[in-house]
Amino acid sequence: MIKNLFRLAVLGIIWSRYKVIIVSTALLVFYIWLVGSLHDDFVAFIELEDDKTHLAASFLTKWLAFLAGLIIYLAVITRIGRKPTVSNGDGETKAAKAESELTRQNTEEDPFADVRARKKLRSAADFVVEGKGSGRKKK
Amino acid sequence: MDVFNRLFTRHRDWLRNKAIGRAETRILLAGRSPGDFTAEELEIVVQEEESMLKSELREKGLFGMLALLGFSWLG
Repeated sequence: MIKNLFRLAVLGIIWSRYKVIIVSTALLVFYIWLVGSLHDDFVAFIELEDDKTHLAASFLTKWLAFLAGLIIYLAVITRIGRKPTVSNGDGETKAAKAESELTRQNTEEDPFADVRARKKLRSAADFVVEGKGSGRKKK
Repeated sequence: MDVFNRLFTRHRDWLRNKAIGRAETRILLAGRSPGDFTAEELEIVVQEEESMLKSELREKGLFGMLALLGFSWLG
């Protein structure tokens, strides 16, 4: 029971987060399969007819179709990645909200501003060691 | 890779904000305010909270992994 609920929850999270990517990837795979099948049929037909004048053109068309599908797929994926997040009803997007939050934090006196800016934090031991080091240097 | 860098930075920022929130709570529970501390003292408190958070996440990840693989302490 719990196992199934857990599975459902994980699937739900994955679906809600990556819905567009999953659907577009499935569509790309289907498109490639469809173009490949059509081309195979065409090649079989040409072999039956014994007329190979359009064979090279068919291969070229197939690979161009693959390439076009891939370009469209990449365009869709990257456009979604860049798209600003959906507004929350007040007309303010999540990104704008985060930005205003950041400016609010900066304008108000934030005692943690220095800590936020630091890439790596130092522990008490680091401070002690640094203090001793600088003390020795002074001697 | 730019994507990995962005992911790494986002994760680091999230962790830092979480640690700052915890540090703030800890300070307030002690009956003081973050403004009473120097930048170094705040850095030490946040660093401690951040390392605690990291070890908690590691532990949770390990338990999650074990649960996914079907291992349990109860047998």
